[in-house]
Amino acid sequence: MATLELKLDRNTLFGAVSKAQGVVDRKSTSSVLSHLLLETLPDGQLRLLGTDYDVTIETSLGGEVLVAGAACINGKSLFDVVKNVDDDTVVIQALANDWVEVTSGRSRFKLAGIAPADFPEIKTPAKITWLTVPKAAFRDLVDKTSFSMSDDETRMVLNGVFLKIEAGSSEGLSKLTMVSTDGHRLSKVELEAELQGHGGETVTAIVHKKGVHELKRVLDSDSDVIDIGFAGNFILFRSGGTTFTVRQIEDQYPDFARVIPTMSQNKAVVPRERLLRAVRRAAVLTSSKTYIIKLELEPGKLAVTASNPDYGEGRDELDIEYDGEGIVIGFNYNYLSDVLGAIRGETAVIEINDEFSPTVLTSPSEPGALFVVMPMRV
Amino acid sequence: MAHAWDRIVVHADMDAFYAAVEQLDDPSLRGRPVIVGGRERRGVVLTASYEARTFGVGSAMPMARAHALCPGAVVVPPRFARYTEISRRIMDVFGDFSPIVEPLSLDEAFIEMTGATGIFGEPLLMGMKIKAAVREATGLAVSVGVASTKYVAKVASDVGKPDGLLVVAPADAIGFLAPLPVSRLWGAGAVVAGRLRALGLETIADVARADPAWLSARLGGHAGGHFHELANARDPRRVEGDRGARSVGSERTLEHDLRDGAELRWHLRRSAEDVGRRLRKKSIAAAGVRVKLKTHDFRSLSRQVLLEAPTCSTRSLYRAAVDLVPRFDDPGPFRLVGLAAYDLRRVLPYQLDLFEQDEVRPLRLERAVDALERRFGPGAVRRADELLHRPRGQRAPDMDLLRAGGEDADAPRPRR
Repeated sequence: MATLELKLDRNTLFGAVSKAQGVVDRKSTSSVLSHLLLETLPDGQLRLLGTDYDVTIETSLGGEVLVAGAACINGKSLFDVVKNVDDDTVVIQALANDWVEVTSGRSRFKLAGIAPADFPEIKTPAKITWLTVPKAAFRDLVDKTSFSMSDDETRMVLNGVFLKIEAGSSEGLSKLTMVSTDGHRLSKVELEAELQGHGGETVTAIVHKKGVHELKRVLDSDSDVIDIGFAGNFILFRSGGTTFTVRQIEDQYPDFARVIPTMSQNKAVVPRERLLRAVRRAAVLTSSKTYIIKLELEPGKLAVTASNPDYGEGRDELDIEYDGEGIVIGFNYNYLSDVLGAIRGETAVIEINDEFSPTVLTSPSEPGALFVVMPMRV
Repeated sequence: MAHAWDRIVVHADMDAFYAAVEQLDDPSLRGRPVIVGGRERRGVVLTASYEARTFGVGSAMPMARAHALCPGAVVVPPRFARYTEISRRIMDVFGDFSPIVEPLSLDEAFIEMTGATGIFGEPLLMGMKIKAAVREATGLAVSVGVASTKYVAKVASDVGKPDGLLVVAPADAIGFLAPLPVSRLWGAGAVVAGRLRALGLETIADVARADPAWLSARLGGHAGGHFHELANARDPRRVEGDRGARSVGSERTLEHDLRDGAELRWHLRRSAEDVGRRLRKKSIAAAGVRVKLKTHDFRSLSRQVLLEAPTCSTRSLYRAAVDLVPRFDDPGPFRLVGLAAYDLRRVLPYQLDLFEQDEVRPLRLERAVDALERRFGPGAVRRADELLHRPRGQRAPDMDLLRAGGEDADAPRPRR
């Protein structure tokens, strides 16, 4: 029989539950993976755990422990209840049948639960090497790569981002590289930063996309740094009181350097935002099956065109810096707008070899970022 | 091109195939009249080389008569295993051009090229590429006809022989057929041709102008209408892909008989993934999905559905397959589950893959060839081995590009 009695601040609890709720299975109410484990630790700390096996989130939260113990509660029910109560304080008490009573002000709920012993055992990796990374830098890596992870589960190794940390160009600096690709486009961002705890050794991980999505939430917290832990088949992210443990994709990440063109024949400097808007306008007329737009380059000029037998056709022209050959090249507009939206500078550089070859996009103001987009055959 | 090619059908027919293979394998036979057939005097000619044909020797001719016409001919017994082996290579070449290839015999096939201009260029260029690819793969000459119907393409390849390439644009098809004798009508054997001539119809133009009802009354059944349609260059028959190209399927025989719907769906998903991946790799889409089940007592059942839009997506294939399951009225258990995608067509545009760039190498080569040919005229670029394996009696390709170039670019291609 479970015991537990806690008196918690409503906002603290809600923050912890919403983070954990991002991980657990929201579709099924019966599955153990749809439940959160709330437990007290021997040192009197209180923690909330949620897992879907691939990603585990652990949040420590402050609160008054009246009776030590544990309870395992359906995440969605707990989330909905805590979200809607009016009082600042929430009392949680385990009941005899593994249910839980949640009381807040004059609201009182009895929520179905399961035996805490049934909650999957979370194996905390024994040896973790922690590195401390400036959060803004890390956020930049994630923001510029997470959009090009693959959703195709037949290409499991691409279902995440590749992270590499190695010695930087000078003493005390480390180089971080993050890469993602779905086979049609690739994003690579490199930057150098001072990392506490990094002795220059090379460490790599493929972080599953579920972990990457959750990581974005952690990156929104107040702290200036994020701790990254490397431990065998896991990679951990810790910021504030929250720790994510993400199972690594255990496979060899493809040799991405091989597919990044090293030279190009035709280089255009384009106004980034104007091109982005032109691409989005043209997208209105693309077919939902192909998403195809065409870029027509000629010296000094770029036209973005789209046509669809069902809807019509459109053409948008802009002045660019270009003195290469005339080229017409097709792209999935999403791939262009993702990149043009991820970089920040005023201009973007587009390098094209021909209409079958990878096209490279870069931003002069963000030298570490490089994006490769494969064209479409038209 | 002013005229729309609503369809592009290629008919490719190897020249004097058996004899050409013999001449390929035995250089001492090259340039000599060769007859492939039974050595005994009662045998018939299976194939005669072009050298023998100049003496009047033709296929299906009694060997004795062939000997009389061409006493110097070398008679070689057929080696069908070898012909089959080379045939497979030829069909593979055709398969590189289109997922839909309909072989008519070892040495002859229709190739559905509709929608492939973006990849292989205009019909003339397609024909040239097919010829060059067959020569590269086998060292043999093929005659190619390109038209918008099977019938016209077949006649065109035949008219162009040997080593021919004849493109008949849709608007020219009726005129192209008009002067030909009625014996050229597909399906008209000696008997039908004789009856047509007896009716005063000598040329295909005569048949085209005849009243179809009158023609039917005289030829009986549907034949009149059929020939009238052909004579007017109308032939809606599709190229029927075969040899596995008609459909892409994946099936698995199970280790235990299966009755459970969830397990069945699991197998269908695996098959859909497999089929979808193969379709995408070939850049083809399927308009039809078929589910096949074999019961524990070995009865094969199948249900199929035509999709609203052709697809190569695993998800769409899987959904269509799952929707078919309730239409099997047999509760099982089943010992085999299969999913096939059929009614295949090429999809353009399609997304190129970053990690499969080897696939675009031929495209890049073709683009470079196209650019040169736009500038210097068709035929300006040839494969080196074409120079080496040039059949006798053909003039060497004109290598003086600078002289031929520029202003001659639009000149008609010299007939080969």
